[in-house]
Amino acid sequence: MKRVSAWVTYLQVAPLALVFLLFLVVPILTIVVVSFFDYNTTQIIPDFLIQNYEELLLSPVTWRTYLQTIEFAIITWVLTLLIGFTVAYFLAFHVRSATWQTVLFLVCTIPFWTSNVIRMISWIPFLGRNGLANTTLLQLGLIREPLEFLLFSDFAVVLAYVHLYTLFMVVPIFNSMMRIDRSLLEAARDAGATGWQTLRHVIVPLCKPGIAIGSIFIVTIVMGDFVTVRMMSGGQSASVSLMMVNAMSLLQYPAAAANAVVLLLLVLFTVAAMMRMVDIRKEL
Amino acid sequence: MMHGRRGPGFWLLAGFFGLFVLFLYGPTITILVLSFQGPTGGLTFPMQGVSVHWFGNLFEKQMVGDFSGSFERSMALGVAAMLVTVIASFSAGLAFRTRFRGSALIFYLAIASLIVPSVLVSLGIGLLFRVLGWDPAWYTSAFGAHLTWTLPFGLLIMFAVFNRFDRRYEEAIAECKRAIAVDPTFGNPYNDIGCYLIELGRDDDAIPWLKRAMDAPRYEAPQFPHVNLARIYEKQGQVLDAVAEYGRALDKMPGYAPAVEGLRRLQGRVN
Repeated sequence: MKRVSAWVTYLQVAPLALVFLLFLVVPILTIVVVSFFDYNTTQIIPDFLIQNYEELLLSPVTWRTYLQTIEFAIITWVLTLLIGFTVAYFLAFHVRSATWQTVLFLVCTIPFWTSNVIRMISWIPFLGRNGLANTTLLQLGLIREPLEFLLFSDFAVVLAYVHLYTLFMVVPIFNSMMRIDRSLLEAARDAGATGWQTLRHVIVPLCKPGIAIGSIFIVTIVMGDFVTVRMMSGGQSASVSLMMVNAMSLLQYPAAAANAVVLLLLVLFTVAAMMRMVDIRKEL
Repeated sequence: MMHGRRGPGFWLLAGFFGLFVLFLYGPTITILVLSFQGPTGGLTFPMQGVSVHWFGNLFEKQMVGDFSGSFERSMALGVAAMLVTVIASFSAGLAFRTRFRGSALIFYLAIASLIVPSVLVSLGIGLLFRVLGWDPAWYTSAFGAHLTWTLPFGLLIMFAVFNRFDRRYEEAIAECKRAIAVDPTFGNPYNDIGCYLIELGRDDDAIPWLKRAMDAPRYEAPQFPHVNLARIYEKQGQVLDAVAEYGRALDKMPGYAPAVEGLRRLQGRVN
């Protein structure tokens, strides 16, 4: 009886495990192996070299690109956290009826049903030299010359990140907030806490798991992104993944693989640091 | 904060929320408007006339790829990924109700699948196919790459769904049945099983257990099953049955507060 049920359990979990094995574990192991391979202009040659890592880590371009990527990640993280927390706070504590909560939550979610690329492109007529933002500002007399930094710049990249990914912050924080026992807030008020003190000493600490999960999403997505950087910076900024994609298009797969291993380690360390704040299994 | 008139804080936050929604939708709306641009216009304002020229253009043969082909491919990929995600994560959700060897490993794989940047997964799958000499295609390598992003979400949602049917209640019921096997004359475990079934939302299954608790010869708190049964009847709108059960609870234990409260509540409803 016991043995049979164990078999059923393994059978039930097998499809999921198989997909992860074939399309996650084996590919990542392949990356690690290939990162030690040799290559020339046409093919990759099995070998065991650390040359790919040497070239990568000794190049100042690599360091500049990593710093730029980390900078994008930190700026995006701060902005999405502030915006996401405020939006979640409004939805969780100021919208009173459950129906309205659901409706407003859906309003925030619907844009995420569209592809990222379409949502990025939609900024172009808005931010361009003759775009809506510039024409409006010119007509209002606030500026004399069209602002050049709006499109194809680091500003545009961060704007697109915030636009695309703030929901990843809103959802987990909202989830944490909905679990807070409302009588705690009443107790805080009865004990004489101002709204601000309640926020700082009751709500924020209890939201930490949500904040941590949202932060993990934002940081890993931004560090692995190349589409947004390529489209919104107009080729003026770089990111680690863009560097990898460029190496791949030149068929320098082992070089890209070495870069991938370094990026993976960086992402895993960052996530491990954030996980210390929260036990994800408890959050489910 | 939760009661009374809305203060200035509410309106400030509501304004912020409104701006956020505008920020989310604004650009997409400009694109919607610009899609009706005249044939000479581009991705900028002002509009060069209004037309459906660009929609017609979409369905004509084009230099790079054709719209209907890529649309069909996207649909097929989307539907296939959806089916596999739903089936695999539902079945894995069933498996995760019990602890099994390797469950932690698979859980962490799912989390890893979420946090490993997708470009790395794509690079890895591409390399794997290259090393094995296979041709990558949308229905093999690309399909797998999509699943690494959709399956973890599916699994997490299934966790949330199955947590509703908390395993601990089922375990507790099994413990009670063991207690009954040891001593079938003792009333408490029958009533407890009824309570757990009520918690699980299976009121009709709970009723026979509560009745057996009432018949048990040995029970120090015989009013409990009557109150529990009364609450089920109350929920189902059988007011008279509920009143009778509360009454029986009071016979067993005069002045028992939950029963008195229940009767008052019902009185309020009848009036």
